[in-house]
Amino acid sequence: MWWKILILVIIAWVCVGAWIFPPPTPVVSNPEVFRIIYFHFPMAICTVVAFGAGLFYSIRYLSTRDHAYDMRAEISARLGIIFCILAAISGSIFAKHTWGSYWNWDPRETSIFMLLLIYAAYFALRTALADPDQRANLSAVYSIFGFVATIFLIFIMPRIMPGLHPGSPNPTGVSEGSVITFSLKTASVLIPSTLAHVGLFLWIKKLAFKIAEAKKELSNG
Amino acid sequence: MANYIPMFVALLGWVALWGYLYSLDLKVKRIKK
Repeated sequence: MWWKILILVIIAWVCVGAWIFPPPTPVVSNPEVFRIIYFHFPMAICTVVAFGAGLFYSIRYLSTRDHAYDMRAEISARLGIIFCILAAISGSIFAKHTWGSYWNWDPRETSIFMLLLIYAAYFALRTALADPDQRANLSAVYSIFGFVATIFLIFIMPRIMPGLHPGSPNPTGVSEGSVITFSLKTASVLIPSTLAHVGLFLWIKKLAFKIAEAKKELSNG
Repeated sequence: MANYIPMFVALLGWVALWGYLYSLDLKVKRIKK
C-alpha cells in the first residue's frame, strides 16, 4: 500500500517539478520543450526494464515450466511495447522541436522502430500457436533473443552510428555523450521520475497478472 | 516563463490514472477473497 502512495506522490511531484524549475537545457531555440525529458527518459528506461522482466520470466518459465511465468513474460512484453510507443511519441514531439521533424530516421528512432517490430512479431508468434505448451516454450526462447536485440538496438547501435540523439558519435566517430546538462534541480525531478515510472510498471504488471489469473480461474470454472 | 496549464492537466490526468489503478487493485483483491 505505502509504495503505491509513494508512486502517487512522486509522479505528482514530477508533474509539478517539470514545470516550476527552469528547463534542463536553456541553450536551444525552444528550451520549454526540454521539459518533456522528465517523461520521455523514464518511459525509455521502463521499456528496457519491461523487456528485461520478459527475459527474466521467460528464463524462469524454461527452468520450471510453470505457465504463470509465461503469463508474466507476456504481460511484461505487452507493457514494454506500451512504454516503447509512449517513449517514441514523446521522443517524436521532442524531435519536432529540436531537430525540425517528427521522424528523422535517426539511428535511435530506427532502432525503436525495429524494437517495436521485433516485439510485434513476439505477439504474432503467440497468437499463431494453439498449443499452450508449444506457445510458452517458443515464445520464451524468442523473448530471450528479443532482449539480446533490445540491448543491441538501445545501447549499442545508436552509440556507434552518427545521429542526432544524445549519445550518438559525431562524424569523426567520437561519442559526445549526453549533450543535456543535468543540474541538481533537473536530477531532483528526473531521478525520482525514473524510479516512480519503474514502480508504476511493476504495479501494473502485478495487477495485470492478478486479473489474467482471475480470468483463467473463472474460465476454468 | 512556463505555461502552467499543462502542469494541471498532467496532475489531474495522473491522479485520475492512479485512482483508476487503485480501484482496480481493490476490486481484484475483493474477487480473490
